[in-house]
Amino acid sequence: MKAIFKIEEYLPKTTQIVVRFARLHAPEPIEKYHAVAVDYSKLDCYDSESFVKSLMREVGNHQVKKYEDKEPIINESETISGKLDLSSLVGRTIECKVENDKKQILKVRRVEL
Amino acid sequence: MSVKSYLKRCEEFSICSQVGDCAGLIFVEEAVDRSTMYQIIVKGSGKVSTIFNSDYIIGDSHKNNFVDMKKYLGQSTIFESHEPFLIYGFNKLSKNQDWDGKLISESFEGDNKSWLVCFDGRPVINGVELSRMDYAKLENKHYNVDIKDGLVGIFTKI
Repeated sequence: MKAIFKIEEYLPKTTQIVVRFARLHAPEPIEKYHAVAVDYSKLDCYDSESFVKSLMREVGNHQVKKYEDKEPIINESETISGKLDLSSLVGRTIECKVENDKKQILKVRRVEL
Repeated sequence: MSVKSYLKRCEEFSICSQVGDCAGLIFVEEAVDRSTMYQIIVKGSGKVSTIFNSDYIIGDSHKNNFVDMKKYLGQSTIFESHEPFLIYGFNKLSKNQDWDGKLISESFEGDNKSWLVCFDGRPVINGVELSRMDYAKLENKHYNVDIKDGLVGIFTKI
């Protein structure tokens, strides 16, 4: 998932920035999301890349996740468990997690001896 | 290159695999994912230990290719390859499961609490030629084994 942020204010006297966060594919303009004040003295300001990563790590990731959880669910869905019956899943909307798992499926074969 | 990982849940256990094509590759596994009971080294070698611990195990396809990993259950571990490698892991599915595993090379009496997994080669068991990653549930009967170049493990639920 990609995110975006927009700095609304820069307050060097208090070492703060006021920032809005959203998902890149958010359904609303970023201005519709709450702005939060962040103390940038606690961020890694070594260069732009470091700044972005530390801003997201400290504040942004949580904000984006929070907004995502609050956004309306357009598609009603259900969870499934137990024995798989693919044919029974046709036409149903199933809830699942988007995981960053690099593990692939190991191909195995059950045989009778 | 990085380490490639594979996983497949079978009926009462799961099998994982890590593959790498050079020395010096690092693979870290967090405690929450650590459910490997036995590691089977099909190719290459490397060492594994809990993180920040110098007391490590060397797995080697020639000298120590079937390693009891139970002492690392529930702990974060780190693996470093010494050369290109192919490793399989036999994993339990839940904390309260326990398994007893061994490699076999000769005919044996089976029981219905055990599973057989072919990790390498083309062994023939009860007239069936197996391939890598074939597995079978055993029964209470005799199994004729022609191991050939095979690497075959039996795992019994205890």
